[in-house]
Amino acid sequence: MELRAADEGAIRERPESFPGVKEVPGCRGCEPVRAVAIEGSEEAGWVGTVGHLSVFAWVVGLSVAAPPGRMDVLGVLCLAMLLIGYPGAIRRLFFPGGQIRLWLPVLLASLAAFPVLLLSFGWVDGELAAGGRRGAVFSGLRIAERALVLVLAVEAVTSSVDIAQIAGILERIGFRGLGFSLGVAANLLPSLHRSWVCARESLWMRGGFRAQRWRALRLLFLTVVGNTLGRSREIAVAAECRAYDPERSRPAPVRKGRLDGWLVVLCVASVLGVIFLG
Amino acid sequence: MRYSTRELVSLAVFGTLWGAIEIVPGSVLHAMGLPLSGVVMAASGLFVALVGRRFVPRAGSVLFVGALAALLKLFSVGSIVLGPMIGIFAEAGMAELGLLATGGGSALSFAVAGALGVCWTAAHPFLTGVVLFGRDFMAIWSGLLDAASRSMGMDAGQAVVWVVAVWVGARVVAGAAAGWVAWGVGRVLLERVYGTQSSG
Repeated sequence: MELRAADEGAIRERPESFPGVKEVPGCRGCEPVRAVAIEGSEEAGWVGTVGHLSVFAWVVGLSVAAPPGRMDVLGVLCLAMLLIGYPGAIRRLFFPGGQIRLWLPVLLASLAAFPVLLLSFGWVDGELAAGGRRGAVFSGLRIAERALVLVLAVEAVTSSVDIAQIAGILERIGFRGLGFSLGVAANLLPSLHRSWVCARESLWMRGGFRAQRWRALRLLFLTVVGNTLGRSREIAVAAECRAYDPERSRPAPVRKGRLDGWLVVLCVASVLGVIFLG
Repeated sequence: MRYSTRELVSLAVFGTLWGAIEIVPGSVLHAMGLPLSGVVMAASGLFVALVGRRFVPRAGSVLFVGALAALLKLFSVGSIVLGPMIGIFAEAGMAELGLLATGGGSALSFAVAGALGVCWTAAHPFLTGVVLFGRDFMAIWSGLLDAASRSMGMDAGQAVVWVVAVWVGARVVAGAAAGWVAWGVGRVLLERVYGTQSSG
């Protein structure tokens, strides 16, 4: 649960209305401290992490399982559900940061035009040629529609579920310590970049890759990884000093929504329905 | 898979490296659409993961590094992350299977793991092609293959054999080379970092 600054006044007035906030007794002479209790899971309104991932799996499942004749209708259904459920996703997809992402509509238009162009030049035959120009147009539209639906679903799920939540789920299915490693990895990225820049500049000053390319590349790799491993050992020592134990650490909390269970049931049932009933 | 704090941190280093390779040059190569860019990326990533295996010589470590790299791929610019994420995870899984099957304690075992991992890139476009673009796209592909084989004066069966042989052979060679080199580089790196040939 995220504690917003605007909530702080309300929490002070009515702490009992905020189930996630608990009073922790302060030390002698100190006031009690109000802290956000991080439990194994936390409430996230109507749809939580599992719900968002179910919707994504539903879209992918329908795209794979749909019979050829039904994909038009199912694609439109998926598109409508995504636009209703994630109204901001299409804007973020086509206009990230207020500027148009031009390559995406160009790519979709190219996909739609691809079968027609192939047919016009006579480069294909078989199933596509048998359908004629009209068949090629519909084929192109289906390809573009499916690509748009899936890209939109990826945008929706990545904007609704953060990486720590996915790491939390992976920890629960066996990847213990992945959340910790992900934190370390995010911490190491700038250090890795610095190490890479320093090693590359040093190599350049000694002639770069002009002679003994293979040896130079190997030394560059060894230097960068060696430096990063040195930094990582400091992190490991710091974690051990704070008594971090991967065996006893709890996985990152996963946000639960009120509709998650229903969404899972609906998504699984509809995909199974499409598979078995057509 | 249960690792100590030090092992987790070591795996994080190699996951970060693979992730960084996928985020920066990977995005550029995929955007440029260069041929065999998937093979280059898979071989580079598996090379890093297999060097990591020398540091954490336990079952599942390559898969763990792959999972970390796939999660870091979410930081990548643009919305085309689903295919690469599945690819990274599957390549790591295939390499892990290769290590499990061959024991994972020799250069040959690393070469087999690398070859298996990179071989996934041969199947990957077909899988993601079906998921992303549907059966229509497969019909176009098969039509193009027929047309190309006719224009080269080959029958379809002969063309398929040649295409598959070159398609898979290039990957086996690249993956095996990556695994073989990873074994040697990992040994040198272990000596440099710990002054020994086994992780601390």
